[in-house]
Amino acid sequence: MRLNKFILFALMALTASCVDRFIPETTGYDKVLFIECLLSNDTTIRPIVNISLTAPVVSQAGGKLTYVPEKVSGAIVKIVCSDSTVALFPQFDAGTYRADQGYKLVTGKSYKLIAVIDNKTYESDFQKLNECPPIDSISCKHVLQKRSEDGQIIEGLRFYLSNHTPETGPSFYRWTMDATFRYQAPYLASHIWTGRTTLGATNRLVRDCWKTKTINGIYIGNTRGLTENRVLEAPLNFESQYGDELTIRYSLNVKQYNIPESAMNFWENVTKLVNETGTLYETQPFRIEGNIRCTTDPTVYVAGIFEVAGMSTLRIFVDRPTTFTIYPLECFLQQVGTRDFPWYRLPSGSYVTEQSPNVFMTANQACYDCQLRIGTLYKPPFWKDK
Amino acid sequence: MKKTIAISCFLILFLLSLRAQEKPVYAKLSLKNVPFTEFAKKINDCCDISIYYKPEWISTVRISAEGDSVDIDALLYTTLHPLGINYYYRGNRQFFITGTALITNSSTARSANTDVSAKDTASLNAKQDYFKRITYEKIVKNVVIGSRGKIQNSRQSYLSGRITNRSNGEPLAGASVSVTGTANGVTSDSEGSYSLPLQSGKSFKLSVSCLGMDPQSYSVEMNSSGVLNIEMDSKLIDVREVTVTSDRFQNVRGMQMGFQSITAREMKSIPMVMGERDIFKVANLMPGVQTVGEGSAGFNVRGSASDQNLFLINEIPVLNTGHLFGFFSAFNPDMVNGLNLYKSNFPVEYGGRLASIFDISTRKGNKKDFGARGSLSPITGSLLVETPIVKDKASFMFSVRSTYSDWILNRLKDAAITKREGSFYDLMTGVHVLNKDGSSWQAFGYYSKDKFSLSGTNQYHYANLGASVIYDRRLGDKWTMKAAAILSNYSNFQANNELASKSFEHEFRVRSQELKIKFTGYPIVRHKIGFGGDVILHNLDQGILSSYGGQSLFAPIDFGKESGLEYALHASDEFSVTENFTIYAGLRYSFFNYLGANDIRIYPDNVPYETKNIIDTVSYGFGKTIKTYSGPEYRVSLNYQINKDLSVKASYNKMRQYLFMLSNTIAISPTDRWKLVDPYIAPPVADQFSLGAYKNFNNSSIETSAEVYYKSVKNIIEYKDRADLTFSPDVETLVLQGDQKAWGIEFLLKRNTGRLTGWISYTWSRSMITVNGQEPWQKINNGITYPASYDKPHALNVVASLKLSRRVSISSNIVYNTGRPITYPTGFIYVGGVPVINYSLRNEYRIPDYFRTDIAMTIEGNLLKKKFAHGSWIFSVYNLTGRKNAYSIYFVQENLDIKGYKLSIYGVPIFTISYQFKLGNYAVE
Repeated sequence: MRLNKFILFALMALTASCVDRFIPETTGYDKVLFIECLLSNDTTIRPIVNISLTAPVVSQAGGKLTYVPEKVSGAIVKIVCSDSTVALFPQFDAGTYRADQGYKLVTGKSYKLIAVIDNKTYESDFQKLNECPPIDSISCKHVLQKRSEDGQIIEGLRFYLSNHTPETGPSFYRWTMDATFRYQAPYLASHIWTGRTTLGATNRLVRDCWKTKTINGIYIGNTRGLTENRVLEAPLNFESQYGDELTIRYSLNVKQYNIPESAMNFWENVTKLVNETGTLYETQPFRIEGNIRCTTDPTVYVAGIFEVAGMSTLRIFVDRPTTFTIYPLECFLQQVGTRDFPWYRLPSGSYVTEQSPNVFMTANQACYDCQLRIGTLYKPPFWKDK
Repeated sequence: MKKTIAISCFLILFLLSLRAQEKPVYAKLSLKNVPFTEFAKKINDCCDISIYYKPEWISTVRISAEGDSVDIDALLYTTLHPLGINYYYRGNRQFFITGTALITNSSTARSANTDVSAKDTASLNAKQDYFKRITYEKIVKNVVIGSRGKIQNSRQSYLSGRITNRSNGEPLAGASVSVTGTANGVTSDSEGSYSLPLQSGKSFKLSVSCLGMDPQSYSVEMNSSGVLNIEMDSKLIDVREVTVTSDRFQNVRGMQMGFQSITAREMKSIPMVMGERDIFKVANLMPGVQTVGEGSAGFNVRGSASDQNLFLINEIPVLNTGHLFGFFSAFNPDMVNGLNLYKSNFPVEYGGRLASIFDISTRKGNKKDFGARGSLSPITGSLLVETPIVKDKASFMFSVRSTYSDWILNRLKDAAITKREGSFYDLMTGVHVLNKDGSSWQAFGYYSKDKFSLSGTNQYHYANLGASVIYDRRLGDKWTMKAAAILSNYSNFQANNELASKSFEHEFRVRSQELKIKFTGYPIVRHKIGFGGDVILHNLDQGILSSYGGQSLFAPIDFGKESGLEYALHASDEFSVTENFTIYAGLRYSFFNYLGANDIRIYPDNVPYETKNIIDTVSYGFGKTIKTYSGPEYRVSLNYQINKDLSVKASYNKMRQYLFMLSNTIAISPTDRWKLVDPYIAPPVADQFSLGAYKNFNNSSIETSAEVYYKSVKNIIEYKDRADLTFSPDVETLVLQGDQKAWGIEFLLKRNTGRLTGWISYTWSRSMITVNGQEPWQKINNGITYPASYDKPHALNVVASLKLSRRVSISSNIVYNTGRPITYPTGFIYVGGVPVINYSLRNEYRIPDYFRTDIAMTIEGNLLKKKFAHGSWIFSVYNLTGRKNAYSIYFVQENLDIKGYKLSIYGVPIFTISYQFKLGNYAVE
């Protein structure tokens, strides 16, 4: 039975329970083939098929369990269409097989994946490419959340998605996201240190940046068992009050995939493994099985996910929230030209600020030059200011 | 390391003291014909030897003694015994004079035979030995049963009656009445009734003993069948007697195997988490009783699933025995009198579960005076009141226990993110009537309720309601009859508001109505015959999962209703073949009818039971039998008593179960539903064989036992991987049935009397499951046998309680067991750049072993006889070493990294103070 994870937290607090890092002794290793492919009508991406072996559990210092998936090369990979056309996906990189330029999927037609590896054939069922309903809205709410690393309660924004379709359900959705945000280096420089002397200079041109990041995680939703084919405020990602993300303006770009039920089962199982272990009432974990089978030898265990999905997108923008405090990356100013921190220890090209006559302060250069925080000075074409 | 040493010392101390004997006390004396009071004062002043007496008993006694080391015991014996004054020495330099007792023929004969001079030390030792035995059994009276004119020589007659506690009129269950020096004896039933077959025309010396009571002896002249009602007195407050856990004859002589009896006293002295006395947590320290983890409600008895235990409180079955998700038991400890736990060798009147019966009895109420008691702990407060309605005849009692956990929950540091409300309470009430004709009535009601809500997103409520009426009477002098009508209702509600569009609520109910009757008698010499029957009507309303809140789009899912009639007839014979050899043979034949109205889904042959494969649905009308299951349940056991302190026993039992819990979580969860067996799910059936050896030492103050068992279960219910019990009403699509094998050996060493009491138990056991049907979809784990989630091979429990003085005692638990099996990751896969864990076959690994030490100190209030109320403080530390025992090991994906975590429920030592009080003095029962 499903029980909320919060119960665990509630009881933990009551009973002084605790969670510690734990590294199991080296466990066994099942070398299992994993095949992954997402085909959609998204013309911006060339479809690929990834084939790898599961990575063994290796304990490392710090409790990190590293994983080095071994890529599987030399496979023959093709996509068969219901109109009998076959598209071969040649190997593009180790373990990666890519469609030819110009390969396009047609809405309403069905597709299936066939891969031949070591004389064994792996196949999916035919899956029909359906139109994806548009995303109606993406909203956000101020929420509190427990940070998994240290259990501290932090504030932030959680995003929610809603959609609907007049088509009869149920519909199955998976969402992938990327976020772009504008941020600013906090300090304005008055000089630059050349290595010998200070010259009057400004960092105005390198203070404002945009950065794009991929949101990792599995975000799925469905309308199974509902009276309307409608998703209401399905939770998406959370952005915390710490970091540059919410300091000025933030944009979330959501791709919505209308996936088949067999793919939904795969994702549900994966999330069940993630969410329902480690609670008081955990269920028995299990081996993941996807929707790809070995047709030449049904006893061969293969984990695989093949999705044919229509796609729709929506991008939204949010400004810096005012209902809670935002803490950008911290920048400490330090006086330079003192006995503790003489000029020669400052790398040449460093920005400095003359706080009062002949009192020069400096900080980590990422506090002057936003590019040092892996951002770009170029405003993305989709960016809309307030 | 220090801790280990301390624990070892404690263990050694425990073992050593098991061997300790009473040492004689000596004093330097020079007295010539002084009054007894002067003598007593002198030895108290000089040598710290205490003598307790009533002045009128010794007013004429004068003492003469001379020597550097006079044996006080010998001196008292030689002085007092010729005057017919009894006393006893209970160690710790204390002598108790018990006054002049009526001396029976047999005892005077004995004392005449052993009348020797005080200087003859060899004889004196013999005398002391004799005395040690006899002083524990105060001879009360000669009784003549029947009239001499009616003597029918060599005919069987019956001595029957009721045994009650003199102080409050409560019947005493489990008291032993036996012919001294023979194996002929019986124990009283839950109403205190006993019936002992005796030969007419002879005289017998009867011993009557009961836990916590002063033993009695009767000299009975048996002319014909008759009644002897016995009132027993509570034992003197004795430094050495902390707990007497079971009738001292039972371990060796009784037919019980795989049986544990736990009393309220034991519950009080054992350290418990957060000061909550809990009889189930004590049961968990017994051999063969395990849980999957701390704070989980279910028990795994001899390698069986937790829904295979039947919990009865005054005959009422209770389906959810945990408060606050299982952290605390749902029974007010003040009301609980004791627990009988059957793990094998089930009497024929019990059925319906495969693994165990937890039979809880409550107090019946004080029939003499008004009484009240209660307790305060950091979690709960409780109060119990009892009062006679008609003095010596009828009593009423009522108890309430409630938590203030809301208050605690709202003080948690993260209360801001998840606002919680949690509360629980339980109520019990009862009326008990003892009639002059020996019959009795008991009406009992029970209600427990739990509520928990989190941030307005989740709500859980559940409640047990039960009522029973039990009537007990004697039919002639050979038979007794017990009849009961029982009603129970379990309801459970949950609401989930995590996702506005998918918010749902679900409530289900399990109701049962039961009638049972049982006759027990001794119609033939050496045969104790029992027969009877029971019938249970089960009504399960699985409820409708429906939308919750205004925004929810949930289409309702009807989980349906189901009914079943479970009934059984049973008969048994306990045949004492010889004085030393007893056979118990019983047959219970049980039936189950799965009844309409219901709609049954039809699947074609040889396809998996999956919703998509349903080809038809057949409707059955109300009361119509849809499917019948039935079968015999054999209960056979043998006891061969090699001598009075040693026996071997063997038993074979078959059990059937028609109601089970739908649970695929590792620990049972409070939302778990119950389900009847149906046309697609056959009843699980268990066969259990066990063999044991039982030995008592040191006049039965030390009991030891070793039992081996092997259990084989057919049709065990297991859940398919990924089974979703929350949203799937078609249970047959979620489960598969397989075989379970469990075997093990249990050792128990228990000390019942003395300053140091307690037990050491060690169990080695295994429990393996195989689900290997013919078709590939009928297999779990590819058909390979796997250990059950509760398979913990080694379990060691040490429970010790040391009475430091009359008012202070300390107790400690040491618990070790193997970690439970777990399914570990065996690889990672990258899905869309995110690592995801893949798992091994089921339960291939184990979590780290479990170890815990607890300690508690109980300080009683003063021992004044005349006081309004008595209180006691209990200071306890649970998990003294603060060891972070793993409850589970799990793996999460965080920022493109997989991390392993260990969850511990009690990660630090937990210190608690609790307070208990009762009206009256220390000795009030």
